This record gives sequence, C-alpha cells and structure tokens, in this order.
Amino acid sequence: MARSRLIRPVLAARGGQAGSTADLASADELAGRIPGFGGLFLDASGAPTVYLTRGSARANAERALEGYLTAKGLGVAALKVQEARYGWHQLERWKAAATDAAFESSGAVFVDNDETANRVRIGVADLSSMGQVKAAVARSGLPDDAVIIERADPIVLVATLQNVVDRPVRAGVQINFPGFVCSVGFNATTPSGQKSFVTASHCTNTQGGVESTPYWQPLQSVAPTQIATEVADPVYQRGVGTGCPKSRLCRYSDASRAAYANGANQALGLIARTSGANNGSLTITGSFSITSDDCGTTGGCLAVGTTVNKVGRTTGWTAGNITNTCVNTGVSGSRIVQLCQTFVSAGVGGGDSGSDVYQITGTTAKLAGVLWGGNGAGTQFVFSPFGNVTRELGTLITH
Amino acid sequence: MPLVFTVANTGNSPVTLYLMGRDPTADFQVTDHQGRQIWSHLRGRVGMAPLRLLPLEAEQRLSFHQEWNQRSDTGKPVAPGTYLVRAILLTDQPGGLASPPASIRIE
Repeated sequence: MARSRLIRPVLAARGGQAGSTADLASADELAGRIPGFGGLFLDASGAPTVYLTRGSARANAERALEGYLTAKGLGVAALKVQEARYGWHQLERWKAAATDAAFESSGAVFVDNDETANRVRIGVADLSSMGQVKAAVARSGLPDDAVIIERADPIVLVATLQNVVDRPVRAGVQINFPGFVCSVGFNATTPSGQKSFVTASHCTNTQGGVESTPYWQPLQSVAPTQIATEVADPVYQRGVGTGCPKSRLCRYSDASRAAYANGANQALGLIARTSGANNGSLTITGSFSITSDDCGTTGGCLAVGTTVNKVGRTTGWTAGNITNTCVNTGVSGSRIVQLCQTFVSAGVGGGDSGSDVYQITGTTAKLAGVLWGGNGAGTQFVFSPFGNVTRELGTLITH
Repeated sequence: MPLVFTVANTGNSPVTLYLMGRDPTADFQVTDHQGRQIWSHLRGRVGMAPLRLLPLEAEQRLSFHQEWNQRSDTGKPVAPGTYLVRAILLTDQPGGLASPPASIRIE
C-alpha cells in the first residue's frame, strides 16, 4: 500500500512567497475524507489516479488532493479517476483476513492491498501453493473477485554492508556506537599484538581523546554483544605541525583505533566487496584482500589523477580520481582543521565515515587511508592518508 | 534575507532520522528561473560523514536558520528578478530530504 509521508520538510523564505508542502495524506486519511475512495496511485505516465466507487463525487477527491497536486505543479483537472469496485476500508479488512489465511501456507510471499488494482493481491512462491492459499482465503470470506493470486519470487534477506552480522568483521561494513553509525576503516594489529580496527576519530563518543567508546556491528539492536572498545584517539591541539591556523585545533588524521573484545572477530586484510564500483549496490559479493599499504609519509604517495576506491555502509563501493593532495582542510561547523588530507572525486554519504580507501592493484588492494568527510552534494570525499594515520596511531599491521 | 527550514514529524509516532554529520546539517540553494544554481550555503565546504540516528517525536520539529545576502557564489549581488530557494536536509539518501521550492523576488 502507499506509505504515508511522516516527515514533512517545509521551507519559508520571509519576504517571499509562503512555503508550500508536497505532503500526501495516508490512504487511510484519504479514505476518511473522500467518500467512495478505493486507492490512489501514479499511472504509467506518472498521472495521479484515484479509484472512486460508482456514484462518488470527483469534487471530494479534488478538494482532498488539491494541495498535493499543486505542489507537483498540477491542476485538479490532471487527476484521473477510475471506477472502484471496492472501498479502501473494505479492502483493508480483507487484506487483514487474507494475511491470516494465506500465511497458514508456507508458500505465501506477500499480501497487499494493491491500490493500482483495487484488489487484494497475494503472492505465492510456487504453483503448488496457489491452491492451498486460494482455499484458505476463500474460507476467510473474501469474494473471488476481490483477490488476485499470482506467482512471486520469494523475498530473501541479502547480506549488505548495512545489515550483515559480519564475523569476522571486514572493512567497509557498518558499525554502531551510541547514537551514530559509521563504517569500519581497516583491521589492524599493533606490534604488541592487539587486534583492532581503525575508523574515524569522529566515529567515537568525542572526537579526539579516548572515552572507551563501545562498538556494535551492525547495530546494538541487531547484535547486542559489543565487539570492540575505543583505545586510541589523540586529542586535537593548537599549533600541531606546520599549517595549523591560530585559534584552530588540528590533527593529521581523523582516525581512531578500537580493540576487539574477541580477537577472532578481526578479518585482517579483508575489505567487504560489492558487485561493482559506482553502481549503488550495497550487497556483499566477496572481499578484497589488502596486500600492501601506501607509504608511511605524511600526505601519502599517491599522485593527483590516481584512481582510488572506498567501500562504506552508505554508498558502497565508489571509485574516482584523486584531485588534490596534502590539503589543509577546515571542517564545516567546527574549529577543526585536518592537515595534509587527500580529496577524491567520488561518491560519499553520511555513514561512510571511517571507510577504507584503497588502490586496486591487479586482484589485490593497496591500503591508502581512512575516509572521514565529503561535500554536501556527495560527489567528493576526503581521506586521511595511511601515513598520517600511522603518524598519530603508531605502527599498524594491516594484512 | 532570512531563510527558515523546518522538518516536522507530522505522524503520530516517533521516527528516527538518519542524518549526515555529528550535528544535523541542512543546505540552502538558490536557483534562477532557468534552473541554474546561483548560491549554495554548503558550496565548497567539507563536512564530516558519520550518520547520526536522531529520534524525532510526534509533532516535534527541527529548524534550520540561514541568512542569504542576495549574492551569488561568486560574491556578486544578484540581478533583480524571481528566484527559487529550497533547503535540503543531509541524510543517508542521495539528494537528502528536500523542501519544495519557494519563490522569492529580489527588487
């Protein structure tokens, strides 16, 4: 069924035209306002189309939908009307009854009040289930004409960067700390043997300084056992290195390190891999293996024009060229300046912070650094080169 | 010119917003009648990219305030005319959560 829009963004420009809204009431609300309402959908041409039972007044639908149509730049005349056989509330009651009945059979896949057909639509996994479901639905009192039963592909939960319970934990998958989600940067073991992962410094309770931030993967609500605890995150300071402006706080990397509670959960050298770069997929299809690291020099050793990649929980695997190196970068909305960072022309989104950045060399990966930021348009990301990370977190074994 | 962007939970139950940044962040963008972007609040800025899970109770609102000095991204005063302004809440979705455009007239 159509989802009601719960979040309504409104913009007001004082001195200009009053704000407007594209808010669309829920189908239940529309059914309360429009006598004879049987569903609302956009047809194949994108035209708003409403089902009304015979004898119902179009004017009621026009009044109820006028604001929505106006916000889309349409007049009420653009509203199409189709004759409904059934009212929305009746279909909702039948949908509830059909849900109980259909799922008595293991072959039921979905039950929907289909607003495009003004019928209850039931998906079944195979033809042998169809008879069982049909009989069960008939016993629940639904008229034959009100139900469409069809073959549907089973819906399976795929492992994505956001939902996978990844054990051992690879770089690129989602991690959760109180109130936020980020991505695992890369796994790293200290010379003393502490098994850890690296993520962004701001992916801790407080950016800079160790507060023993707890981490879960992918979410505390999904896998409640804490996987790691923050153990290294140098504080931001004035006068760091060269290039830190007066009255600003600086570091060379936005990176922190968390120690695994159980070292067996560390997938050293592995990055979760999706089906391809820049295709938007979040489904995990394999892994990259890190076999080398960028140089340990501050600023890194990758030149402008070099193609690098990242895998993060929000935008998946993205790739693009380095556009700027060793950039002293002011962080919007803060007093922080990150020194000697690398800019890349590639996709990024909220939640990608901490992601691994790497160069693909043949069939393997060369670790380049940790992503921490980007522009508002999501077309450029910024990362701390590996040399900057080890400058502040110390020697790290990554593969 | 003061601009105010409000995001409201108009439902009757709490929702969790997935917002880019340590603090909720919104961009404001002005375009001319040909759709060309004239000014963007966040243009050229770099922000952090964690994802904040922000609960918004029923009826609760988030408001963002921004001042537009009626200059373009190049710093020049814009010509008199009609412009469209919209605001975008940065989320985990491409394009964020955008307001419908509002029309403003510069005399």
